[in-house]
Amino acid sequence: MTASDDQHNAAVAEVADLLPLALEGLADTDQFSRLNALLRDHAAARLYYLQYIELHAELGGPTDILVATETCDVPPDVFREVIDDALKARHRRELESQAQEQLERNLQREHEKQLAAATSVDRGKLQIIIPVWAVIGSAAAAAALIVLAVLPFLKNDTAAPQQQAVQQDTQVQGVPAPPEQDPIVATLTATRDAQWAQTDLAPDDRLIAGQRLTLTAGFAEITTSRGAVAILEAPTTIELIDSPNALRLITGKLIGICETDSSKDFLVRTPQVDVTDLGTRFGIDASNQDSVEVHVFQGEVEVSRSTFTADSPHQPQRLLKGEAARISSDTQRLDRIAADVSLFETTAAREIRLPGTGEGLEAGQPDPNWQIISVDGRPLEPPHILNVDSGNDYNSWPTTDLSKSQWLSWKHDIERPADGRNTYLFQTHFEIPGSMDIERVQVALRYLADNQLAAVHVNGHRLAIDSDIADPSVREVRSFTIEKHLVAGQNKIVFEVMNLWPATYLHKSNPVGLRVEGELKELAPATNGNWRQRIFKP
Amino acid sequence: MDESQRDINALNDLSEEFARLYTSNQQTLYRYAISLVMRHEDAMDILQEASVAILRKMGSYQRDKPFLPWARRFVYLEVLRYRKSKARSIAMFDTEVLEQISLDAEQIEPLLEHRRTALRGCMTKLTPKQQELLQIRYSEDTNIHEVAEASGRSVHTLYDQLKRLRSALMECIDRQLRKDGLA
Repeated sequence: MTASDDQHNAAVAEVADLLPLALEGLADTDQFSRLNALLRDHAAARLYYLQYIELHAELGGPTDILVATETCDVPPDVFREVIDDALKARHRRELESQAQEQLERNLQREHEKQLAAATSVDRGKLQIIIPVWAVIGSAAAAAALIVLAVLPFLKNDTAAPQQQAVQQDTQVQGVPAPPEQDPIVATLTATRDAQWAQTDLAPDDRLIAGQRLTLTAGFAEITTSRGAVAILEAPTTIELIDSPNALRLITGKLIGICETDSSKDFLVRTPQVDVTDLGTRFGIDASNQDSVEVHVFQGEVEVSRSTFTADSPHQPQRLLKGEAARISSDTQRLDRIAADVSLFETTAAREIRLPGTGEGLEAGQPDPNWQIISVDGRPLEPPHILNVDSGNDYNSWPTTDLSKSQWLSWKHDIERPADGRNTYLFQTHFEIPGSMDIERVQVALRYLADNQLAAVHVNGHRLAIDSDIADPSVREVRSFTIEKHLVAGQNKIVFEVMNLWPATYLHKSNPVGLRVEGELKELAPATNGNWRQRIFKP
Repeated sequence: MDESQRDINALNDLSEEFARLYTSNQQTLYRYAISLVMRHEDAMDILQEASVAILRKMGSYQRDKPFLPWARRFVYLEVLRYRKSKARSIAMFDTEVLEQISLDAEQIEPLLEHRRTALRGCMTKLTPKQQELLQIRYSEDTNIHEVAEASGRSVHTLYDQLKRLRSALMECIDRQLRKDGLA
């Protein structure tokens, strides 16, 4: 045996120790790094690893390898007590879940009766699954059924091995298998600025049990087959489960709305707790890994633990309107807190920055977005295109107080008027996207003007800003907000700038200047809890 | 036949072909995925995402080429994406190791097929209780911590017993392959 063989054998022995730890999630960072290094450096270690993983996959994967087989000569049974205890614990869990399963079966039968006609249509539309898999159009039912046959294998924590085990156990106990369920359990009913991690989804897409959705931006509304509404706020990941009135919130925020009798008992499963709606509006924030929060805004919900152990029996807690609970991930402890509706509204606000005057341009370059259209009430034909100030016109204009804009200036020969004031109209345009709720849109602007911004004209409506000539706006940044007269699409804003001739200023060219930057804001929905109307605006 | 009907027929053909090819290869793809990420639930997540990608790209699949190597690429890419998204929560191998495992797994697939066959024989040598232990560990919606908690035993004890049981099965498979002249 060579030194190299010794090294390989030692590597294999080390992998044999580390790999079981990694498989059970017990390897620490150093142990995992060591395993990584051994597999990188030793082909023999990789061969052992692949053989061991193959065994692991066969035991845990979609296979019938664990179906009971005949007993032959056996090694000493060192597991008896452990297994007996585990079987007892499993039996307890089964008893706890049987009532829930029975309830779901009853609800499903009722649902099928009510939707008998619709169900036949739905079954004819089984190809709706195809859009979910990102193929558009209608496919033949036969093809769709073949695709559907793949789906049970693809489900997540209700995956095939677990289902097989449950079904086998159920059959052993003589209980009939649950009725076959419609794989379509919900519909995507509305979106706003939604982006998805896995695939492109659009309103009216049907959603199937086992499907996992990650909303990376915007909002989405999902309606279960029973009519419960879940509004998701990005970033959020959910998973549809095998029920017409339930889903799993893996991470993120969800608002639940149940306004019909059939949607009552809407169940949201989170890693920490199950939340059962009792006819209400509520919010769940599972954004934080350390805890999950349940806030009730109307009606009542029941909170119970997602997992059951011998030491932590199921003890449901009810939350009423105005109440909330925070459940710790580590301890499963439930602390009651006050409901906070703002948690579920803050990010509904949107903001679009408007380009500042002269933004991105060099000194002396024209800014095509800005023109002077009038001087002292006399229209300019054509309008005067404004240039970025070169710094020579009036060296006392502040240059640093605003960050996204530059001065636009004009110095031209003009007679000093009798009152020593010239009035210039600076005009610009901007767009308000049609997706914004115009009733909630504001334009927040910050500006400097030489000498004074007297007013703005919003789509022809004059709004006075500041007429105190003794307090000019050339030295310090001022701001104002436009809340009225805005329209979806293009908006015209005219800045009425008054320029003052100093008594000692004898030149015929008195420079005028304006510097503006700001944002277009869509405010958060009002706090009346009407999220559907506010967010999706049917 | 109008254009839209032709499109529908083409989609039908694609989805039928996908279903046929995917169904016949899904177990192999699952084994490939779990060889890269080790955990069943991670492999299932990856396979779900990969299956969507495969279906999307069925139009570009060259029929004269074998399906499995083509489909494996999607699984591998999904593993890389998954590793990036889970970087903070799950330890996964670095890219170099993933590539090596990926190559080796393809090369030794015939050997692994023999081992799977041998495993079935070895399973018959376990007692029903031993099989139950494996079933609880692998087929229930539990992990070793939950099984240990439910049984009142320490994770360490349970870990040792599972490790010994898997080692015994590995040795049994090796013996069977030697006996059959395959090792």
